[in-house]
Amino acid sequence: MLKNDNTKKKVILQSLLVAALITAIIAVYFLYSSSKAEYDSVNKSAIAMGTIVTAKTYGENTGPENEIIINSVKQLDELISWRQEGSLVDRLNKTNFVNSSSLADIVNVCNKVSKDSGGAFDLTVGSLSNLWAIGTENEKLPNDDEIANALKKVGYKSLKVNGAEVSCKKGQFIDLGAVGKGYACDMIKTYLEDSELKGAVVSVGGSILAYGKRNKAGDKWRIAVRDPRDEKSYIGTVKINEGFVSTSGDYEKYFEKDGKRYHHLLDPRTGYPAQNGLISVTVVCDSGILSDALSTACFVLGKEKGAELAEKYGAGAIFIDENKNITTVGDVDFERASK
Amino acid sequence: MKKGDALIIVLCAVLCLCLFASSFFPGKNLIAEIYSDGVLVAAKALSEIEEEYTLSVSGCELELSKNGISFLSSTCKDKLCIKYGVLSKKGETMACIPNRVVVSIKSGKDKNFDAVAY
Repeated sequence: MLKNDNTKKKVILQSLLVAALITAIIAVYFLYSSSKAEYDSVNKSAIAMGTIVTAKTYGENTGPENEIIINSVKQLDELISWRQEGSLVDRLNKTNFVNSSSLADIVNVCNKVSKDSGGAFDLTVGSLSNLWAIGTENEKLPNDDEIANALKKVGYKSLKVNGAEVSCKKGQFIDLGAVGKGYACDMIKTYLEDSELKGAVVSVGGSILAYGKRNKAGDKWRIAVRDPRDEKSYIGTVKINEGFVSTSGDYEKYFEKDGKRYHHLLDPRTGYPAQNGLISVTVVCDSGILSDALSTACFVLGKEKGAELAEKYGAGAIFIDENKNITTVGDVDFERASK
Repeated sequence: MKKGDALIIVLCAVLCLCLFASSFFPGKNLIAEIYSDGVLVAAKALSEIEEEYTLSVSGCELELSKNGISFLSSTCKDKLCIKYGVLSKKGETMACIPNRVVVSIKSGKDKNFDAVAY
């Protein structure tokens, strides 16, 4: 009888231990799960600024914000695209003068990058872009005389700002295509700061804004960088807490003639597509317009001088050369994808 | 401790490991989303497609199958959307910009990345 009582007690004790163990494991799992819990999110894509705009917002009752973000990109395009009749840039190109504090701000930032890059980046490159017309049905390989003539109209020093007044030299053609998407990301960030959203990741044609937090644990945002030679693959991932990511590559718009690739990233100093062994540059920094301008400037400058420019602005940069060798510069958390 | 108790503990441990693993390796729950002028006009889970079929959206004809979604024809000039081929991976997006049609492959539990810089 005593033996039976002891056996029963032992069984009860062991059962309790097992139950406690199961409860503990499940509790740990749910604690882990709640710490990693995702916010509600809404994802929306649309076409604006002549490209794909994707807004993914995180928080409670999100949705209207996505519409506002996409509409704001469309409205901005109406202000700064040279293709839009009556836009600020259209007026500047036609009359060589515009009074606009927004445009003045853009030009001030860009002209500083132009100066710091020794002219490797230049908003007045429009006459060259129009001559090459890369990515359009009129694309062609211009002759040296045509390039020399177009180069006469290129020069950021003639694009001047005085307060809110912006002026340029007659015949110059201003194109904000290199920085418009990044500037849109800056505007979106200003809007998000006044919203109730917990976080958002916005892509304006590949220029990225990562804002706030993606989940309750505050995990970093993961931005994939396109493989420059395979549009369906990613060469790696950049992890950031918040900020802007822009990539410039020779694969976006190009044509080939006699086995040579002529891409859209023109060197404003020579008039020809930059040829320095790079095929892609990604810049990570705390300003959308700067990340756009720096990715273009660094691509044109090449790896060594580009790295110096990125460091001057405290930006992180990822340089990919034609052999797909990757060099990172500055404080950038980049992980190459497994092959 | 009896063999039965040990077995229960092992089973519990395996169960919990599976729960953890499932949070790191979400299933292939891919959804093709089709937008026309910014409006979501169709969304289809690829795994639910038994036979391939086509869908006409704003001047584009799209083909959907278990393997993905592709632009079959388009009234646009450059036909870049058709040249792209089949979209089948999470995060892939392609657009016919002249016709304002966007196609995306999405997953509710995309663990790979949040956006693509290109």
